[in-house]
Amino acid sequence: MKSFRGWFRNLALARKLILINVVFIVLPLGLTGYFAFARFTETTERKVGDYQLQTLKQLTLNIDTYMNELNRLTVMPYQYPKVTEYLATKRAPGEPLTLDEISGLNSFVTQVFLNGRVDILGVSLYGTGGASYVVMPESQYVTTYKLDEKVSWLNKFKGHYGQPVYVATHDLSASGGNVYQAFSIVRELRSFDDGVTLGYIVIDVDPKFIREILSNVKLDAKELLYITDDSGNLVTGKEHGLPLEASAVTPGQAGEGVSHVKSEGEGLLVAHVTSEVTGWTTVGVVPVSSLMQDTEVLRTYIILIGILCVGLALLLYVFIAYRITQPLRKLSRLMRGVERGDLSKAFPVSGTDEVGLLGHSFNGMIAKLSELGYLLYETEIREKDA
Amino acid sequence: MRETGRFGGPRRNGLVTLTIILLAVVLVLGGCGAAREEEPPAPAAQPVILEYWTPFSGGDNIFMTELVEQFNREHQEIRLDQINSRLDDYYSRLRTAILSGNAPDLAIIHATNLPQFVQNGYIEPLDGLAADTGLDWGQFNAKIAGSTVYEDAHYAVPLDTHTLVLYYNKKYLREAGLLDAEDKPLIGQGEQGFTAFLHKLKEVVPPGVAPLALPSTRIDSVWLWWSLYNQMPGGGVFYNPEGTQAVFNNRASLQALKFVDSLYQQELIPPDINDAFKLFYDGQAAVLITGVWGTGAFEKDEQLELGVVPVPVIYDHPAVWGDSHTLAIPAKSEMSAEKRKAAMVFARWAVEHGVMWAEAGHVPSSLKVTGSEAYSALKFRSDYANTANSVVYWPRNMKQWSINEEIIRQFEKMIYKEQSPEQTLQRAVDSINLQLKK
Repeated sequence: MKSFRGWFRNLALARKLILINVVFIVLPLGLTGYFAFARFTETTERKVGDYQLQTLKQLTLNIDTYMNELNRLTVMPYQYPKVTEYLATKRAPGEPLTLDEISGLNSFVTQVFLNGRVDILGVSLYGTGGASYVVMPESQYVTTYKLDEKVSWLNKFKGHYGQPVYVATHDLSASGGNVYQAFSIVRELRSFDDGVTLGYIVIDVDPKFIREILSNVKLDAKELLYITDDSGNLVTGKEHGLPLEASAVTPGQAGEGVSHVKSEGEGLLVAHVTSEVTGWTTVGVVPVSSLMQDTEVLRTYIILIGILCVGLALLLYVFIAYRITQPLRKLSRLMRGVERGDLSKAFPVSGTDEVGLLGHSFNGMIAKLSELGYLLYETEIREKDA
Repeated sequence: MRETGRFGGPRRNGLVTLTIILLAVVLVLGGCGAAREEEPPAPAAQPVILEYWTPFSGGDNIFMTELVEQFNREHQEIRLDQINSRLDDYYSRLRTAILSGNAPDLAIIHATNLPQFVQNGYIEPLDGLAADTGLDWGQFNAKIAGSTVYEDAHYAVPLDTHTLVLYYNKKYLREAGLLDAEDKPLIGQGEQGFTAFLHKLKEVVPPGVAPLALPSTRIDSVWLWWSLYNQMPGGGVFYNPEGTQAVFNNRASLQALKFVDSLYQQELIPPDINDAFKLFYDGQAAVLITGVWGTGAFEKDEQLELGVVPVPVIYDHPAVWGDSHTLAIPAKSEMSAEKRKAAMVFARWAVEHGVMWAEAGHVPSSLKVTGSEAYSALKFRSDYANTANSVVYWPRNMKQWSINEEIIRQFEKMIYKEQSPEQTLQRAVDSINLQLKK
């Protein structure tokens, strides 16, 4: 402590000033700025995350309302005994239907199409005993389709208590050669009396309406908005809002939340909401960099202005210190002259500040010394003469 | 040593000024950065959005979608949102929408169905709008244009004529020796000629392949009967002149129906066909009689050696069932003048771009289009373009659509061997007369 005080006391004035400036202004302000910015970033991200989550919840709610409506259609076979009876029959593939069966099934399917919105692309009924009645886009009913036993949704009904399964978007081929995109709602149909599975109803729906709901959200170029099912298959997304790789930013957990994900060196803010109706997850992705873009510009400006101001201040310190110490240096030069015996110099006094007074005293001292010298010389002469 | 120990003086002032200027410049620059927010782009003029309903469930929907997409690309100020539904549900949906005030801005209506929409002003007369947008009624085939006129007013813009045609798979006909030098089918005269043609095919085709594909339910057999009935001298009478009674249970009609039935009973048309279109598309049928809308889809199938001719004249003169897709504007309260105009702009554009629609297989309504080189250059279409001249529409009746449904029900029972052709005609006429009395 003592040595520091000594060291500090011995520092040149300019350095002292610079040191004080750095320790008491640049460092504290810089640190405060840094912490304030970090905190601000954090708050902004949290706020945006919350807002993102709210938007996703609203979207999911809108989609769920529609899904519940579609879900009601899958219950319709229970109100059409002809349909459940048909599904319960044992049939060879392609076995022809009677006119009565055709008209019963046809009027059922027409009711499904009419009660649903225009987005329904296909309705399929599969019985466990081989019966089928499948209406695909652009085609008449087909009874030769057999349920593919490897189809992904088939084992999802266990312990489901009659809940339907929602199947992510897939291709649906029409007989005219066109391929449609559709997601599906599948319901297991059971007999009330003995509880056995009678068959399944599959309703294929154009995901257009989900895209329409998503299109109400404004997205920046780098933002993503899409829906996936529980295994990461894409249901649909906003145009330009589809992920290149769905799995890269798909949060595996259910429920809702906001998380930070690093992808290709870029920080991403990922919000997700999983619907309790469909089990699908709506995901919104915002790159943090785009979020903080404006703040970062501001930060850069503040730092530049700070550096410039501090730099200017330092220059001024050096200049002022030089100006302050200049008369002292002049005085010290004069002193060295006096040391060598040159008493002819005088300090040019130009004011009454401390330096002026010192110069005045110096001049007085030189005058006194000259006077003393002269007296000494006179005494010596007198002694010689005596 | 000038002015050493004192603040002030010109040099001092200069330095302070310089510092202040520098600071100011820095601050202003910083401020500019913050103020340079991206200016929101000037809002583009909102396009007029038209909801457009279509009933295409053959292979033709994709062509309509392409037509709409191209129109939207070329017209920034108008956007058509096409909503397609199955023909089976379409009119039920459209009627409900009109009655509940949710009608689309533009809809396809079959010419046969126009009477029920013209009544009570469910659709708007278009003459004034057509004059404003420069649509020329004179460009249409007279028969088609006539189908849209009610009490001297045009109620719809016709897009096409679609008739029954005979599609054939050249592979099977060649094997049976039934192709001439120009790859056209060799079909003999009259009922016997046609039956012999199918018998010969039946001998040659592998088991499971249909000599002639026609579904055993739905309207297809009714179309064939109506075509053949109209080919007879004095045939094609449906109602009495007053329009109060159905009178098609006559000898000519019965002969045509017996012939159609015989094709089913001899299994020249195999039983229990539900999707004849798919059967032919998959190469499981030698001949298919259906509407022209299949051409566009069939020719895309590389496995299929496609040929198409008009439905043969089995009786006296050419006649074939046909209908037209027409564009109509349903009446509703919130229909703005802007939307009406936009709808008409599309109608005119669609008619003028009839070649695109002809790619689906339909015969365009505009004579300018059918006479154009672009149309003649299309394969297959010119083979049946003339059928538009021998087309027979269903008679004009407000209830024609549901009357046809009654005929379908009776025909289905005949095809499923539940009743004879005589009983079929009698029961159909009886039930229709009951409907007409209501």
